[in-house]
Parts: sequence; structure tokens; C-alpha cells
Amino acid sequence: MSNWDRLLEGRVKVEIKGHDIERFLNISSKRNLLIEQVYQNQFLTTPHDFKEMKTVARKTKVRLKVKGRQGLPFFLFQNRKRKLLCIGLMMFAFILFVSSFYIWDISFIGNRRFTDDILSKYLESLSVHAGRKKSDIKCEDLEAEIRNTFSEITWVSVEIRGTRLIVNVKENEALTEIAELEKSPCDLVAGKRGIIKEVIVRNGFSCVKVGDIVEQGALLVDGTIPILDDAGNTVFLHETHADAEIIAETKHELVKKLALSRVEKVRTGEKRSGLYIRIFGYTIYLLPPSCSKLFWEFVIDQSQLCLLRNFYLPVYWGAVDAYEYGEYERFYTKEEVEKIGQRYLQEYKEKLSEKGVQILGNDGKIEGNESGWTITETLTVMENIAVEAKTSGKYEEN
Amino acid sequence: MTKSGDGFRAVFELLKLPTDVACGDTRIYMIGKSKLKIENYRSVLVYSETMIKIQLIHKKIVIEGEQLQIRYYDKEEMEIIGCIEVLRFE
Repeated sequence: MSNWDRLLEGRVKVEIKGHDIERFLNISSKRNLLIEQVYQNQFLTTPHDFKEMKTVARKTKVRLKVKGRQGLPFFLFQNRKRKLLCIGLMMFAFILFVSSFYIWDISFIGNRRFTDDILSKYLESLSVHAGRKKSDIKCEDLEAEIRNTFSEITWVSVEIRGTRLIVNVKENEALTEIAELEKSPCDLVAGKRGIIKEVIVRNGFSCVKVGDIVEQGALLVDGTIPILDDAGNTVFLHETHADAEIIAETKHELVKKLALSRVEKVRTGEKRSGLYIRIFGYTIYLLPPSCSKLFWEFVIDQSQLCLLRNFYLPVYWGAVDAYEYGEYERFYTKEEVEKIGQRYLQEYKEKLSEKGVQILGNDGKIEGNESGWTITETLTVMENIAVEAKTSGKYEEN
Repeated sequence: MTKSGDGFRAVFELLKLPTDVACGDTRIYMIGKSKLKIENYRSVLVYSETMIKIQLIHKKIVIEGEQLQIRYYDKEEMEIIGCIEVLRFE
């Protein structure tokens, strides 16, 4: 018998005294009267079976004495005159009933590339969020929407369990489609100013050689190839999609400006701890009072009320720690500016390395004046400067 | 068991049928030394915290130990928990 049944049915703790206890137990079991936890001449039984046992007790000449009562029937009987408690319980049951029509928690399972945050924001854009009525959500439609929007998600299942919306996804590990090669005729021009270091032409007519200095926009590879006859005259212009790697030494200039000072938060060491409760969007902080005129920073450890595994409710609570802090203006020192500059440069270098750009060297400069600090970094790199452009039609006049 | 009972048992064994179900034999399960379950018993003969004596179909079983407690029992089965030290047939 489960604990729930025990609670609903109620139990009476009975003390048994007499010489023929074993006979009493045997007759009770033969009459199908429930007896549990027989220990130290005490046992548990149901209120109904206890009444039946009185005749058995008389027959076997044992004395039964009630030592305690537990369970819902006794609780209700003891509190039968407490009307407010009854109203409160009914209201609680009503709120639970109404809450069960809404979604209060959205969980994602199986997502790796798309984080919970991305998927939550997407669902929010479809008006699917905590607090939405369950009947308004069409799981099949939602599945189709997710599949259509995120092509990397190959399988999706949306289900409503209790007050939870569970989104199961499977992402495609391999590439979904191979990028189609561009076939339309085009030229390659310089995307940046630089000195040509290497020329690898796969398709087209090269217009530059190693050592040339090219300006931005200069033609590097011509996609229009002239077909000449024996006399050297152009008889036909063959337009192709120019394809080449033109590696050049270029310079990247980074400029970062900083104000002379910044506002810094410093905790004073004053701390208040308390409780945080949020019910249906209303937040209550239970914190000790303070007469401080400074600012407070709150750190909350939040949990959501969950009655059963899938029955979440819009009730959040947790411990809250409030730290007092003051704000003051602090001027940057040259060392700090240098550190910021180095961090900025490092981040930029990492981005370039990811693109396969080779970094040859860098040159930095920090200037400070009344308006603020200026960090200037010049990076010398080797990179492919060829970018596609429409065919120039250079030979068309011929 | 009577001679006719033995005959039935032989027939059931020949047919490879479970004899305990067919003949109503007592079944005893013991988990560690803290839990004992008895099925098909007749009655409780003696009950105390240190000794429980139970009438089975053909024999008696004596359970000795400490803090013995009948967790539940009905017409057919009984579960005893506690620190069981001795289990003896009489």
C-alpha cells in the first residue's frame, strides 16, 4: 500500500494488552482486518478495521487502546470548524487547477549548436513562452516552424507534459548542403592596398606579378580571356569566372579610443541576506532593513516550484544576497591603457588567425590628451586580397 | 504430506509444473538478515520482540533476533523485519 493511500485512508495506532495476543492477530488476519507494523505490542490499522477488531478483542480477551491517529480523515475532523483554512485549501486547489492550463516551463533536450537561449528567444518570437495557454500551442505547427527556421535541426518533437513544454531536437552533425560554386563571369580586384607576394591563378588572366604594389580596387585577375588569331588580333572574348589566390603583404590599422576615466563599482563589505519570492510576476524581497544611501547589488539563487516532475508553477524562490557598493570615477593609468590595448590586439589577432591570415608583425602607439586615450595598432599581415567584381570589359573595345 | 499428496507431487514433477503452487507449499524469502517474507502460512503461534513462531503448512518456523517487527500480514503472507539472528524449523 502506498503512502498516499495510507494518508487518505488514515491510520490508528493501537496498543494491545492481554495474554492471547497471537490468537487476536490470527483471527484478525482471517477476517481480513489490516494489521501493520506490529512492534512492542503496538500496531497500525485503519479506522474501519479498528471498529471490527473490537469484537475480536472481546472474544480473545485482549484490551485495545488507541495511542494515536494519523492521516487525512483525522486531520479534516480536527479542523472541521476552521472555515478560513477550508477556504484557503479550496482556493489553493482552484489556483492549481487554473495554473494547470498554462505552460510554466520550457525545456530543450538534445541541442548543442543552438543554445537554450537561442531557442527560447526564437520561441518567444512565436509568442511561445512561460505563461502561454496550453490550448493555444499547436505542437505540430511549432515543430514545422522550428524545422523550417533551423535547417541544421533534422528532427524535432514538441510535447506538452503537465505544465511543461518539452522540445526534443536532433541536430545534423554533417554539412547539410555543399556550397555551389559560382559560375557567373567575374574579375578579381584588390580588396586592400598591398605588396603582392604570391600569385596562384586557377582561372582567368593575371594582371599583376610578385613585387607589384596594388591599390584598393586595382584589377588583379581578368575574367575575360581574349582569343587571338595568328595575326594577334582578338577574334573572340571568352568570359570566365576568375579564380585565384593573390597573397599580399597588407597593413591593418586598429584604433581604439578610451575616455580619461571610468566609473568603478566598489563593494563596501556591507551585506544583507534574505529570501526572494516571485509569484505570477510579482517579486518580493524579504531582506533586513538598511538606512544606507549607497547602491545595492543583488545576487539571487533562483529555484522554481515543481509539485510533481512535470507540474511546474509560476512560483520562484531563492536566497538573495545584497551587497552594498559605491561608485566613483577612476582615471586610467598608462599601464592599464597598455593592458587594454594588448587585450584588444590579442582578440583581433585571434580573429585573423581563425581566417587563416598570417601575421608578420605589429607596431603600437598610445597617445593621451585632454579628450582621452587613443590606442593605435598597425598589424602587418599576409593575406589573400582578391575579391570578386563584375567583369570590367577591358577588351570589349577591341 | 500424505501418500496421495506425494503422488500428486510426483505427477506435478513429472509434468514439470511448479509444485509449490500446485501443492500450496510455504515459500520463504529472506533479504539479508533484516527482512523475511513468508507466503502460505497458517498462524502466528508466539509473538515477541525477540522471537516469532509461525505455524506453516506442515512445520513450525522459529525466528529469533532483536527488534523483530511484523511489518504487515494478511491471510496468505507476512513480512518480518528486524535483526534476524536464528531461523529454525521445528
